[in-house]
Amino acid sequence: MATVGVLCGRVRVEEKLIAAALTEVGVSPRPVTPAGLPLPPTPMPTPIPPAPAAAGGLAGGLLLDRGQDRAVATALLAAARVCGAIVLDAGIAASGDRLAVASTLATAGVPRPTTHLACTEEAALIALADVGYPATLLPLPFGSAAVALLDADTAEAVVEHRSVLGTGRAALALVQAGIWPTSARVRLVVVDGEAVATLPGAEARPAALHIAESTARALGAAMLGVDIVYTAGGPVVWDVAPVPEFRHATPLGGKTVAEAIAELIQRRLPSPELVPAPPATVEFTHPGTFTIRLGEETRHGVVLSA
Amino acid sequence: MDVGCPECGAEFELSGVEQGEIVTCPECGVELEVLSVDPISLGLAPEEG
Ligand SMILES: [Zn+2]
Repeated sequence: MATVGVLCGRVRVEEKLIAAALTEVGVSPRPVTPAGLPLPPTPMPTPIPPAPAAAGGLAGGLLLDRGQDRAVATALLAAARVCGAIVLDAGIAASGDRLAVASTLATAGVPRPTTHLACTEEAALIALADVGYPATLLPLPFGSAAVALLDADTAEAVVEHRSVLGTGRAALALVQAGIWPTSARVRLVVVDGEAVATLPGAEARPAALHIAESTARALGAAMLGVDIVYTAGGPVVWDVAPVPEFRHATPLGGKTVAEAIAELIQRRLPSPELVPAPPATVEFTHPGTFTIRLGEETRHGVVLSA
Repeated sequence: MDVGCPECGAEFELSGVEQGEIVTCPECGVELEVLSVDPISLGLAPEEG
C-alpha cells in the first residue's frame, strides 16, 4: 500500500477526514509531525539521525501540507522538496505571505480590493486616506488577525500602536479597502483547480467559483481556501487560507474536500519506477579494492592510480 | 462527563474543572480553555504572546 506523509502539528478533524478518505482509496496516511529532532536540509546523509516520523514523509515520497504553524511548515516543505518529495500545498500561499499572494493575483489579473503595502506608520495613514474608510489592516503572515478600521481616529490609534509594538516584518501590513467580516465572505475550497466545497450558508455564484479557481491556478496551489466578497464592482478575492478548515464545508458537487484531496493524491503518487533509487554505498573491502552496492546490485572494483 | 475536543473531535472524560481552566486534549495535545462548567464546554485556549 502506498504511503503519503501528512504534515500537521496536530491531527485535527480535517486531517482525520483526509486519512479516512485516503484509506478508502487504498493509500496509507502517515502523520508527519515536526518533531524535536533536527531535519536533514539535503538528501545527503547527515551525522544527526533525523526524526523518524518526519523523515518518513520526506524520503522521495509524497507530502501533503496541512501544517498549522506556517513558519515551521514553510521550512519543512522546502526541505522536503530538496529531499525529492512531491509536495502538495497551496503554492505561493504556502511558502509566501499575504503580500506575495496579493502581488501574484494582481499580476495574474485576478480581481482584488484596492490594496497598498504599508511599511511605516506614515505610509499606512497615506494608504488609508487613499482607500477611504472603512478599511482593513492585514498583517502579512497568514493566520494573523485582520484589524477593521472604521474611521481616521481608530486608524491612527491602531497604526501608532502597531508601529510602537512591531518591528521589522511585524510592522508591515496590507491596507485593503472595505471591511468584510467572516460572515459576509464566501469561503470556497479549491482542490486540484476545482472549487469543490463552500462553507455552509455561503452563496457561491458562478463568478465566485471562477475567481476562486483562477486564484488557485495563479498561486500554483494544489489546494487552497479562497475568501470571496461581493463588492459593488463584482466579486473579488479578499484573502486566502493555505490550510483551510473544511469540517463544516458543503460539497458543491459529488465529492467532499477530503475525497477530492484523496483523488488528487492518487493521481500524483509517484509511480514505483520514478521513486529515486536508494543512494549507492561504497565500501573499501581491502586496500586497493572496493565494493559498490546500489539497491540489490553489487559491483566490485580495483583502485587504479597513476 | 464526556466532552469533545473542538480541534480533533476526540471525546474524553473531564470533571472537577473550573471555568477558565486550561486543559490539554489527550488525543491531539491542543490546549483547551474551559468556557463553562455546567455543562462543560471547551474552546481553543488563546495563544500566548
Ligand atoms: Zn484534540
